[in-house]
Amino acid sequence: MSELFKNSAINIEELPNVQELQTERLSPGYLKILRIQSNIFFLVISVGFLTLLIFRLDISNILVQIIAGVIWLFVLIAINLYIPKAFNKKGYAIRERDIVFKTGIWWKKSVVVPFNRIQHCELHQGPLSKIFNLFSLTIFTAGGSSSDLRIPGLMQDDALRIKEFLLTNIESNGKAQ
Amino acid sequence: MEKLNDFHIPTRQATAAVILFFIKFLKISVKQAWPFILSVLYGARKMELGEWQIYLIVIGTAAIYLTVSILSYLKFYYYVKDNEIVIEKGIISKTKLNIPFEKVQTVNFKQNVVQQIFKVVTFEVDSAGSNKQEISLSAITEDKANQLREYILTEKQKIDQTEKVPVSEEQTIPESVEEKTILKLGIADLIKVGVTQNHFKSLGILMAFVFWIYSQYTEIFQGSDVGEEEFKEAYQSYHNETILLILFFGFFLFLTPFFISLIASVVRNFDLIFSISTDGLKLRNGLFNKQQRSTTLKKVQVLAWGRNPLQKLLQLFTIKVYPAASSQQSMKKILNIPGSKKEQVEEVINTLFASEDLENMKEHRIQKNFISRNFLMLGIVPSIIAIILSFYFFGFNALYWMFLLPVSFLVFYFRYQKWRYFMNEEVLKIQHGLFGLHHKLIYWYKIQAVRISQTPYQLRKGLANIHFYMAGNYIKIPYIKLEKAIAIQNYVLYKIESDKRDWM
Repeated sequence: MSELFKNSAINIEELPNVQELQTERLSPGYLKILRIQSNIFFLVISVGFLTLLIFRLDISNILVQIIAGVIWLFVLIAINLYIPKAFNKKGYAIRERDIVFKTGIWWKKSVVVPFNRIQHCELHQGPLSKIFNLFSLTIFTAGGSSSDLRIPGLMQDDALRIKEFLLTNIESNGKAQ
Repeated sequence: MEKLNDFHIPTRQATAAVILFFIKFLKISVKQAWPFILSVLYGARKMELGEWQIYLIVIGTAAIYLTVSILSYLKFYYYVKDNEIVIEKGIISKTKLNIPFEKVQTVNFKQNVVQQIFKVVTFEVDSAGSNKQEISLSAITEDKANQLREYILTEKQKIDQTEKVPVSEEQTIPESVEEKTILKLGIADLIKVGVTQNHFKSLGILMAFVFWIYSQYTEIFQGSDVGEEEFKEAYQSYHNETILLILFFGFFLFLTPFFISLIASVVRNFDLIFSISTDGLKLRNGLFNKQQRSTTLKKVQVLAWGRNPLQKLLQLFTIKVYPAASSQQSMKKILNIPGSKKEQVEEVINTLFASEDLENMKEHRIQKNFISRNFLMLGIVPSIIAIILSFYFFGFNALYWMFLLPVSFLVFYFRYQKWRYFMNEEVLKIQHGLFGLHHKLIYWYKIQAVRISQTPYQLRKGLANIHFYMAGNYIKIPYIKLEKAIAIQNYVLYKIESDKRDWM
C-alpha cells in the first residue's frame, strides 16, 4: 500500500491502524436497555398486527393460529438472540489523538473523529438509561449531524471521565473555537 | 466619511425598515395561512358580507400589521460594544444577539427589489464555532453598511494580530487588497448558461407544484357543488380533440420547464461578477435579489466543478466553492459560478490549491462490483418486484418493466467507467458522473471525520465505502478494497492530527 501516496516520507504501513484496535465494550446495563427497548417495540408491533388479523382476516382456523404463533415465537427468539450479538459488536476506543466508534454485525460501520476536529460534546440520559444510571456521549464536529459520534451505554464515571479527557484534549490539540 | 465611533451608540435601522418589516410579516402570514385566507374569502362570499365589512377586515388587519412593524422598527437597535456587534430586538420578549469581532466569519450584503427602491441593503454577519449565530439587519443604507463592514473587519484584524503571533508567512496580513475580476457574465453568456441548465430539475419542481395546487384545490373545494361537474364537462368537450390536448401537454411539459429554468437562471445570474483577491473570493449576482457572497481562501473546504453534456457542448463549467458552514446553512453559503471557461476553473484551482502539484497525482478506480451489485439491487430486484406487483393488473404486459434492466445496467456501467479518484499527500480529487463529469477537490487536513462502512455483500467480498465529512459538504468513495480504505483512513487521520494548519 505504500505506493498509495507517492513520495510519501512516512511509511503507510507503520501508521497506527484503526481497524486492528481493541475496542472498549459498552456497559452491560446497556444490553438490558437494548433488550427492553426492542422487546417493547416488538410487542407494540405484535399487538398492531394482532388487531389487524382479528378485525380484517379470518383466523378461526386452528392451523393458521398455530402457524402465526410459531412465526411470532420465532421472531421473538431471533430478536433476543440478535441483540447480544449486536451489542458485542458495539465498541469505542480512545487513542492518543482521536476517538473511534464501531458498530454493526452485517452492516459494519466505524467512525473516527480526531480530537482537534471536535466542536463540543454532550452527555445525555434518557428515561430508561436513568434507571440503569447510564449516559450517552455525543461528540459534535463541524461535519454535520451524520458525522457526529454517539457512544451510548456509558457508566456515569466513565462518561464524565471521557468528557473531561476530551475537553482537555480539544484545548491542547488546537484552538477550541 | 462620518466618524466611525458612531457605531457605539445604539442606532435604529433606516425608516424603510418599517416597510420591510411589514412586507416580511405579510409574506410569512400569507405563506403559512393562504389556504385559510382563501377559505375565509370563499366563506365571505357565501355569507354575503357587505363590501364595507370586507374593507373593515382588510384595513383592520393592515393596521395591526403596521403597528407591529412600527414597534419592531422602534425596538430594533444595533451597536458596537466591547469589540462585539450587538443587536437588540423584540416588542414584548426582548432578544439580544451579539457576535464578538474575532468570531466574525463573513460580512455579506443582499438587496431585493424593495430594498433597491429605498436604497438600503440587508447586512449579514456570520459567526464561526459551534454556537452558530447570524446577525442580520434588513434595512441599513449602503453607505453605513460599507462603513460598518470596514469597521468590523479592521477591528477584527487588529484583534487577530494581537492574539496570534505570526508563525508563518501565511498569517501576515497582506498590505494591499488587490481585487481581480476573473469572470463577468454578459447577456450572451447568461443565455448560454440558462439554456444549459438542468431542465429536469424545473420539470420536477413544476410537477410538484401542479400536484400541490391540485391537492390544495381538492381540499378547499371538496364537497362543494361547483367544480367537479364543470371540470367533467370541460373534459368531455376536449375529449374529441385528444391530439390537441396531447400537443398542449407536450408543449407544457417540455417548453415550460425549459423557460422556467432559463428565466430563473438569467434572473439569478444577472450581472454576475466573480473576483479573486488576496482576501478571498467574492461573488456578486442577481437581478431582483442582488446578493454578494464571499469567503476567505482559508475558509474554503471543498472546490467542485463540473458540467452536463449541454455545457460540455458549449465548453462551459459550473464552479462551486463550499466555505465552512454548518450543514443547515451550507446551501446559503455556496458560491455558485456558472458559465466559467476552462481558464477560470484553472485560475480558481491555482488560487485555492496554489502549491499543489495536481498534474501528477496517482489515479485510482473503484471496484467493478459496483456495477454488478447496484444492477442487482437497484435494477433486477426492483423490476421483479414491479412485475409481480403489477402482474395482477396488467397480466403479461407487466413484463414491460424489463426495459428497466438494460437502462439501469447502462447507468451503473457508465458511472463505473467515469469514477476516478486521485490522491497525493496533500489533496484528494474525485470525479464521477453519468452523462456529465463532476469533480471535487479537497485538502486532506480539512476533513472533520472519517467513516468506513460495509454492506453485508461488501463484507463478504472484502470491500468498503469510505466517507469523508467536511464542514458543509461530504465526499463518499464507494466500492474500494477494504485494505485500501483502511490505509486511506489511517493516512487521513495521521494527516489531520499532525497538520497544524487551521482548517478554517
